[in-house]
Amino acid sequence: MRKLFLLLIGIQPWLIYAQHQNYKISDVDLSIRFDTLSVDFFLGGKHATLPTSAQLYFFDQDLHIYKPENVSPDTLFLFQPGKQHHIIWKINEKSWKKDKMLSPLVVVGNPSANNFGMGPEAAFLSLVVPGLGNYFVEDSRYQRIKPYMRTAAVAAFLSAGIYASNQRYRTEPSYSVGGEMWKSGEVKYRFFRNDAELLIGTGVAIWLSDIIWVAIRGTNNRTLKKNFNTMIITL
Amino acid sequence: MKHVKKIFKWLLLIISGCFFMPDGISQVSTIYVTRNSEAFSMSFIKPITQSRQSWLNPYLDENWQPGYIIFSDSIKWEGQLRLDLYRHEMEMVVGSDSVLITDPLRLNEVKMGESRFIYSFFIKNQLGKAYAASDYFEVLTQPGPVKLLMQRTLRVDESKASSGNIQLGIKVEEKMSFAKVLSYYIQPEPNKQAVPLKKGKKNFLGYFPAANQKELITFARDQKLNYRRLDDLVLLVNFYNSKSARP
Repeated sequence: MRKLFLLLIGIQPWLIYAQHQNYKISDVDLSIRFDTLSVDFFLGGKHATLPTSAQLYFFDQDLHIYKPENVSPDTLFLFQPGKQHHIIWKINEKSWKKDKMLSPLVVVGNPSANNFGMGPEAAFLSLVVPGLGNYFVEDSRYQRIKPYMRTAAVAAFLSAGIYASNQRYRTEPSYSVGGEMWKSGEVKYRFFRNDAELLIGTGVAIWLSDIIWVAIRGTNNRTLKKNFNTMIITL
Repeated sequence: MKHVKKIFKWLLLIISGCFFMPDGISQVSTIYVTRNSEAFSMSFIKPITQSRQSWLNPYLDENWQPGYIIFSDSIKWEGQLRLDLYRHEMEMVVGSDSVLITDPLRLNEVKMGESRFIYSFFIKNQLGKAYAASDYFEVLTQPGPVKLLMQRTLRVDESKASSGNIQLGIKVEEKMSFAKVLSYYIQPEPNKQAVPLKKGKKNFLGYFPAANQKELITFARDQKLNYRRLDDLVLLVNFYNSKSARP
């Protein structure tokens, strides 16, 4: 009876999670014709069946958030999941920021609850396993170099470097007639000269660059979240 | 221990090598300094020595150029023009007045000296994100549905003493330098956004309708054109535009 009770308690979070409408925006595409900017996107996600609202925002290179007016459909419109949709913004002289570069940001449901991804703390995950932090700061499907490629590259370079280091040896020294050593043995490398140092160095360099990359992306996520909750400029 | 030292030495060499890699992607050709500025240092890849007077010029041309502007409502203004590359603004002298074009979205065409310009939206990918923006572009091709465009911008590089440096008493020389950067775009359809020009046969032909690709390939083969040379790409676009003009 006690086990059954514990099982029921333990299973509840999973049941709640299974009911959760987890919407996801993907395949965001931007196009402009005449003075009309169109943002196409696919609304999908796990267990997402009910129609939901989606709002269009923009952010510039300094990660300031902008909210355009005169968009269609309006903010009350409900988008059906599992389909391709688009939001259109009619640009005019006053609303267009001539000196800015704007990137679209489609936010589903409650904007204040939007998940922008993990902050710079994700770099610690990459410090433990190279590539791990990437999964938490950005959608890995759109990354040209996938996180698992970074993990594999670091593992391959480091293991090849360690292997090369273990396989390195020095040949027998040359002795004089009197039995004194007059020339020490030649160092034999497994792959090429200084192979272990170069392979391990490359592996560590990839690992370090991954940590820095994740930290930068994480910082951007945190700034975006902060700006989104503090100041939105209306276009 | 010996191995550890070696590894450490190589690691340091690799890391320090990363800092000395030149950023040679942008096509830097000229060094400029903005107005109201004094002496600046130059640290670019290909600095062209110019007189001090021309360094202080953020405009495309040092002098006003004769030309005209045609607005979207077909109104034509004739006068002296100059393009501010720093502020991305077009200035014009009409009669005795100097005016600034505040709504370039309403411009159809600008002729300045021997060059033709348009104001267009463009989409540029940076770090995996698509950004929309607008700017003046010089049109490199003959009039037609497809336009090959050149964007000129002034890249500003500034180094300032940070508060941390000041607290630690580290003296940092304040530098500011400007470089003229050229980027090439293509507008595959009229009134649509321009996109960065991707060279190479497959990329370039992708800008044109599938039905016209075969004649472009034949023309390029006959004329021995290279899909990676800009002048040859201009010829190809001109050929396509001349074909499209025919009924």
